[in-house]
This record gives sequence, C-alpha cells and structure tokens, in this order.
Amino acid sequence: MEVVNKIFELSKLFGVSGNEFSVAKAACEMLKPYVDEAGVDKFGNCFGVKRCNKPNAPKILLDAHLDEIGFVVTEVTDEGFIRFLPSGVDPRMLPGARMLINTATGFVKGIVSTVTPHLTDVASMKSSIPFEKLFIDVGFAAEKVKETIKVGDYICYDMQPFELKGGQICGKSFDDRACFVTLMQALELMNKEDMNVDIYISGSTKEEIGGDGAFCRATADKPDFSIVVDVSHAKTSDAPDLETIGCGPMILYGSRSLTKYANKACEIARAKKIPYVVEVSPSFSGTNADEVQITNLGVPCLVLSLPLKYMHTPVEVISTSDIQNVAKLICEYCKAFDMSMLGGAL
Amino acid sequence: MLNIFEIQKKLVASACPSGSEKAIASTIAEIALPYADEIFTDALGNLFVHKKGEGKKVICCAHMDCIGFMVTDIDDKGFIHFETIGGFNPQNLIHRPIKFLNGQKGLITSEYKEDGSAPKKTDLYIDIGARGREEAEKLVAIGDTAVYEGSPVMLNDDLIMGPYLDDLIGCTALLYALTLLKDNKNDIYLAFTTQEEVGCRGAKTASYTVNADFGFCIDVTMVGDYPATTKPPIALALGKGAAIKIKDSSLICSKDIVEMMKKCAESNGIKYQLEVLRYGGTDASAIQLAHGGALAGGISIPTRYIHTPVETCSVFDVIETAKLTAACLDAEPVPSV
Amino acid sequence: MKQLLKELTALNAVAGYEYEVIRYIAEFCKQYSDDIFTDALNNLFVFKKGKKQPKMPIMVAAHTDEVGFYVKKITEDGYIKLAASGNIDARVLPGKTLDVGTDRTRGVLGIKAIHLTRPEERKAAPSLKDLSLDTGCMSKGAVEAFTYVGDMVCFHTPFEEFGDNMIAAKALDDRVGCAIMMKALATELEYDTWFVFTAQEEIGMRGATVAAKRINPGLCLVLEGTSAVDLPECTPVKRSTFIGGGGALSLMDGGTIYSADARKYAMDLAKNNDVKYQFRTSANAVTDSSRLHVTNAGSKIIGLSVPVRYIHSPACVANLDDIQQTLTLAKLIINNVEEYYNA
Repeated sequence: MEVVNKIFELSKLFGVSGNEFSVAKAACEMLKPYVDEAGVDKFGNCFGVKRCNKPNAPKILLDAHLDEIGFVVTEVTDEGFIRFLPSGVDPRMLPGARMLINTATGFVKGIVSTVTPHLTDVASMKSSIPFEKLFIDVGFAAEKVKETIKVGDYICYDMQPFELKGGQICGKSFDDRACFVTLMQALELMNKEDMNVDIYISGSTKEEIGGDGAFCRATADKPDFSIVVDVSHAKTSDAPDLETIGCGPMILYGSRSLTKYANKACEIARAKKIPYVVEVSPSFSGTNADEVQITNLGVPCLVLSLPLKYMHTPVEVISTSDIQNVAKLICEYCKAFDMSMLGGAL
Repeated sequence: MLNIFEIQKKLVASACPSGSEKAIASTIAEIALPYADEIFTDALGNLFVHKKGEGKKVICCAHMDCIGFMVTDIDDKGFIHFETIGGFNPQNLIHRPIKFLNGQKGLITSEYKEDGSAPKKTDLYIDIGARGREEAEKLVAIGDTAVYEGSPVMLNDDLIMGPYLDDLIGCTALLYALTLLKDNKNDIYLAFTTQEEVGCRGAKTASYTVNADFGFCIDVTMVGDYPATTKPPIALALGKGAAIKIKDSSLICSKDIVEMMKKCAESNGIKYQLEVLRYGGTDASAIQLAHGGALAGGISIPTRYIHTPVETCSVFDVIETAKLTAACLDAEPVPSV
Repeated sequence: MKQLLKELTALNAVAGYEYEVIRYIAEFCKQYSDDIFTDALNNLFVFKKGKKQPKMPIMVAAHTDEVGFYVKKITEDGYIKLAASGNIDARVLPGKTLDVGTDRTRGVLGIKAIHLTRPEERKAAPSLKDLSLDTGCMSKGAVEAFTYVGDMVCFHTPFEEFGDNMIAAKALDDRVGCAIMMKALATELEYDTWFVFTAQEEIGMRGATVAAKRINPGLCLVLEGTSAVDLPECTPVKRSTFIGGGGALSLMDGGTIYSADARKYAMDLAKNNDVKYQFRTSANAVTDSSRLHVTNAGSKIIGLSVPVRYIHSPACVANLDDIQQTLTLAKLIINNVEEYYNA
C-alpha cells in the first residue's frame, strides 16, 4: 500500500531532533505532487502550500513533526565503548537495542550492551539497568572508535519497519512521521474537492525538544487556524485503560484544542460516519499546538491524534485504518471550515 | 596395623582439590598396594583397589578429593584471583594459609573494608608475595589448584583436629578396613573417588565401571554435640561409634543395606549410631543409581566444623567405622522381604 | 564461515524444536560423513572416518538449541503470553521483535510509553509475565489462525556484519559451535571422529545426558559460545573472556572441572601452531560438558568456547577471527588425539 510505503520510507531515515535534514528533504520530495509549492526552510522544516485560488481564502496550517527521539554520544571510553545520553526514553527499552550513530564519516551501527544472566547476581536482576551502566558496542578496535565517533554525535534506534497482522505496522519514529504521511493523505482527498481554504503544510522539526520548528512555521505562515496532528497513546496489555487502536482519530479537548473546535470535529465525524474518540488534556497537549497557539497574535488550534502503541520505543505500532480516518476527518474539517467559526466569545 | 593419625597425616600432606587428585591417588595406592590384588584408575581419576573374591560384587567409595581453590586470573600487581572448588562460607576463608599443589605457599585475604562489613567471595584474593604479574606467573599458572595448608593434631587421646577430615579420614578408614580383610568371599572394589565435593562426579563413573551388586560409601557427617545446641539438628556425637546412614538429601539408603550394617555391627560388637542427615549428599547416591539401580548405603564418621580447616573427629569412631566397613564388605544384604 | 553462520542463525530452534537446525546440518554433513542418525531427543550424530581409528573414540559436541520461548497463552484480546525456554534476562526483551512459529509471524514486545510510567516503574526490571507479544491481532481467533499454545517463538534478528570483522546475530550460543563442527568435519581428518549436535542444552543439558552413552568417548571436546563481558568498568578478572583473544579454554564451571591434562594438551597444540587462545576465567554457568564427562565410565573433557558478547540476548556479537582460531584449535585437538591418549 502506498501509505505504508511512504511511512516506511520516512521511518527508516535518521532524524533525531535538530538533525532532521534527510527526513525533511525526503518529506519535501514526497509532498511536492500534492501542493503548489514545497521546500525546506532555513530552520530545517519542510513546508508546502496548496492554494484554492479564491480571494481572501482562510489559511489553515496542518502540522506534523518530522523529528524523532534519540540519543547523543557523551564519551568514547578507552575500551572503545560509547556512553550516551538519552532523552525521553525509558531505560528498560535499551539493553540489547540496535543503534545507528550518525558520525561525520557516515552511519555506524551499534548494539547496547546487556548483562549476561550467568554472570549477574540475582539481586541486581530485579532492577532495570540504569543508563550509566549501558554502553554502545560498535565492534571496532578502540583507536578506530575514537577516530570515528565523537562526543556530540547523534544516535537513533536502528529499526527497519515491518507489517504486523490486522493492518497494523511497526517501526521507529512513527511518532510523528506517520502523521506527516496522514497529512498527504488528507491533501489527496482535498485535491479531489472544491476547497475554500489555502492549506499550509508544516513538517516541523524539534518537536521532541519543545516545538521550535512549528513555532517558526506558524510565525512565518500566519495561519488563521491550525490543525496539529500528532500521535497519542493507545491501549496495550500493560496500559488497559486507554482507547483501542483502530478507534479512529482522537479529538483533543483542552486549553490547546478548545471545546468549540473539538465539538465541531466530533460533529463532522458523526455526520461523515468517521469513527472517533475524544481525549482530554486540560493544561497542555504535549504537541506542537503548545507552541503554534501562541505565535504571532495567537492561532486557534485543533489537535487530532493518531492512536499509537509503545510510544518512544523502536517498536511503535499504528493501524493503517486510523491513518485513513484521521486523513478523512482533516479533509472534512478543512472543507467545512469557515472564518465565522472563529471568535464569537462575546 | 595402621596408625590412624599417621595415615591421616600422610594423606593430608598430599591433599588435592576436586579435579586434580593425582598426588593423593598415588599416596593411597602406595599404602594399599601390599594388600591389593589389583589397582587401576579411570578417566575421572578414580582409584580402584580390587580385592578378588567369588561372592557378591561390592563397591565401597570414600572420596579422596577435598574442597579447594583454582586460579582463574592473575592481575598486574601479582595477586591471584580464584574460584572455590566445593562449598565454602567466605568468612571461613579470610586470612587462611594455603598451598598450591606445586608447593607454592600463599594466603587468602581481602582488603580491609572501612565500613567493617564482611567481605564477599568476590572480594577475596590470594597473595603469594609476588611483586607483579611476571613474578606471579613464574610461581603459579591459571588453572593451578590449591588447598588449605595445615597438618592434623591430636587434641587429646581421641580427638583428631585438622583440615580435610572430609573425607581423607574416610579414606584412612577404608585403608584400615582393607588391612582387616582376610580371605574375603566377596569380590571387593574399594573406590577412592574424585570430585565428590562438586557433585559426586567421580562416584558416578566409578559405580558404572564396577557395576556392583551392592555398595556403600564412607564419608563424614555433621554432629549435634555443640555447646549452645539445645535442639541438635542431628542425633550424632563424637566418640559414640560409626554412624549408619538412614538417609541424606541425596538418597534414602536401601533397607537391605541398613539392616546388613546393623547386623554386622551387632554381631561384631561394633559401636554405632544412626544418621538421618537433612542436608548434604554423598557418593552413595551415585552407587544407588548406577546401571539401573543397586543396593546402597553409607557409613559416616561424625565430624565437627565440616569444611573448615579445623574439622574434628574421634579416632575411636574412625576405627569402629573401619571395622564395620570390613565386616560389611564381606557380608550380604539382608533381604527386607 | 560467515555465510554458514548467516544461514545457521537464520534458523529457529528452541529446545524441543531443533528440527530446522538438525535438518540443515544433516543435509550439509551428508557428503562428508559415514553415518548420520538422530535419537529420541533429537540429538544429531554424525560419524566421520579418518585415516586411522583412535585408541578410544573422540567425540565433539555443540548444542543446536537456542534460548527462546513457547507460546504459553493466547488472550481474548489477541496478545500472546510467553514461557521462556532457557535462561533469559527479561531486561533484554522490551522493544524487541519475535518470530512466532515455523511461518515466522512477527510480533513485538512493547512496553507502554514512558509518559505513562512512574519513575519507580522504570527502575524495576520488567518480567516476562508482564510482557505481551503483540502481533497486531485483536482477537484470540485471529492469533489462532497462525499459531497455537505450545508453538515455538524466537528472537527476530537478521544476521549482520558488525564493526571490524565481527558479526551480530541471534543464537550464536551455540550455532557458532555447530558451525565450527561443520567446518571441521568438512575437512579430511586423521582419526575417526563422532560429531554430536546435542539438543535441549539450554533447559538442562537433556540431549547431552543421553548422547555420550552411545559413544563412550575417551576424550570429549565441547564447543560453545560463551559470555565475553569485556565491557568498560568490568575488570579483566570479572570479564570471563574477551573478544579478540581466540578460543577460551574452560577451567571449571558450575558443572565441570575440566581435565587439566587435556587442557594442557590443547594449550601445547595452540602454542606450537601459533593459535590464539585464552582462558575462561569465570566458573559460572553449566554446559553439556557437565553431563558428557560423567557418562558411563567417564571421559576426559575439554571445553573450548568462542567468546560472545551479550549471549542469551537477541543480538549476540562475536569476532570472526576468534571463530577461526577456535576452529583451528578444534581441528588440532581432533587430529592429534592419539598423541594425547598415548601421553
């Protein structure tokens, strides 16, 4: 399937926050057929514009981020092993993990050390292995490692995406590149419609470290409205209280995604028979909406989420049916958008 | 007649840890030679002393290996890192003199801990006085083994104290029994076995090789006659005779053998006690399982402070054990049905 | 060697499911051997005639099984619960993918997102009973379409060349031993030799327990992949073995005190032929040796292992030169055995 291929293509690329160069380039190439104009800005964000060519058309910014969680080299030991600093990662995910280190001379594959059960005392096996006891092994002699790998080199998980059963797929960095592909799906649907809005696309960088990329795009594009598309937690066997994958878009209610915009989304979903669930997060969203909302003079936002299992691991899992339904809702929302929806607080 | 103390002293002087029993085997063979029809060894180093006869085929095992130490690594400063062979409590090891089989002396020690906590096994190392790796490597090699340094002493006219009563005193008793055998009917194999302390490994192959009708082992066993012990873990005491094994954690002795032993003791005026041991296994377990099963039992010598360098037992008990062994070797099991 | 290991580690064989591996090995060995058969436990015996018959048989052994899992339960909502086969530290499991059954349906062992955890949860080791294999199926029926309770589950780890002359793969413990045996038996041998590919080592040396009873070897050479813990902060004393030092000769472990005279025989061969070797300086773990050397009347035993980092995890790392050195030493041990017997 084309959507799956696109997600896989982006997923494979290295794009730890601040190092999204190849992802942004590939995303831009992918985006071109759907838009009038596409490019990569000075901040590294991928952007695109699809105009409806109607006067005074409202501008809607659709945002999904391209960066991924990752690690950075902090030391190369005399034995030729690498100490590293993680961010936003559960240490339990690391022993035995496959890594890709982005060095000045190219990518180097590595494996995070584990402890051998035979040589481990039983008491210590009750605790997870802390970061400071983990090393990346790259299989080279110490001198060569010191020559090749430098403090400050970035690292991502080394994981080839693959298909599971039941229309689900698994891989790294589906957070949030799957959502960027969802935006293109939405564009494909919109391109078959007579639209009354100009669509601005932002494949933004540095979301995982605070949303600076989206801040720049929103500042530059000055949208009238923005739909921020990110992933959100779906139910897993160890987190049973969440919504099940395949439930369709998750519509956020909260300070970043005001009730009236969320209500509208629910209304459209019901009318168009798109399955959906609602999510609540009163004080923040953990998405680019946190930044986009306060750019320029303020931007009203809607946050839609793609359900995802095992977030921030090399084995993030999503359902292709959810991608279609999120895309459909984005398209219908943009189609129904009208400037009169905004304001009206008094 | 052999002198128990002198034999024991001789055996302890050539004590060897499990897996490297060559020296002890040749010492025992030398003592046994005048009394034996045939002496041979097998791949695991077991020493067989054969005393021919036309009757039942009997095996009696006493293990000649001891707990000890093996060099696993030598560091740059010339200290020796080691692994224990057999069961040890680390606190019994600190500041003990040891000797390597090549004669090199040394001691087990650990660095002083500021918090006063007891050293763990991994904190222990051996100091042989070497000034650096190079010097150490000339004195010992990785894979070399060592034992406690020390010689037995008599505490009084009956109690003998020293390292490696377990089970060299059993070997002494078995040699003593050998000298008592006269015109035996049974076809008797005395097996001085290897690697008992790491899981009765020698006895497994020895029992297979002999393929006996019945057999038993001689080993040391724990006692309950300590000063603060009000509820003895076991109803055995020093000086009260040989202990006929009813069970330990590795086997339930064949009833036919237990009855045979009692009968032999009673008809020969040998003093005995009965042993029900909760922990610990013996070579008897291997005898019992060989070739689809054989009748098996054990005779034990009650011993204090087992697996320390100050094991203590009664010479009287050793002689009673030897007499009972000699009687049983030429007896027949008493059918229980 | 690289290609052979690539093919061997692509096969799945947890204890009780050694079929893929023994069939592959049997097919390979056919043209080089004089007798091939299996027994009740799926030990694979390969006999190869040499130029001479030795005084006593020599037996070389490596195990075919790997650590892995069985399907223990399929939940109503389509998750697979696993039972471990062999000693697996559950701390290596989160985020790894596994292949279920002979059709290799791939699933993932996820844990919930860090955002949903408390700090103390992250400090605790995960346990297998809390992990669920997710194949994307959302009902029991959908899972039952491709597997069953009792089916085999293995790590999904494609073979990779790694670093400098290294390889990364699953099951190097003990496919590396199998590969060395296969390479050795593909050469002309001085003496008749029994090559035994043992089953069920990882769950208690079950195959080895019966294997040596048939052969009654005078000398047994056990080829293993063993822990190399040559990591920073691990002193040379504690690392057991290290990458790049050649094959490791065992001193003792939890089940065996290796024959000192046989080890010396191997060391002398290595020294005289410029073959690298090292000692396995830890005494932990138990291998097939523990059963083989006390079988029947017993045998002399040599433990020779390739140092492997991260054994019993989805990605083991070994050095091709170490493997080559180990193969060379193994062949020397086989081809000079009469010298040892006569010494």
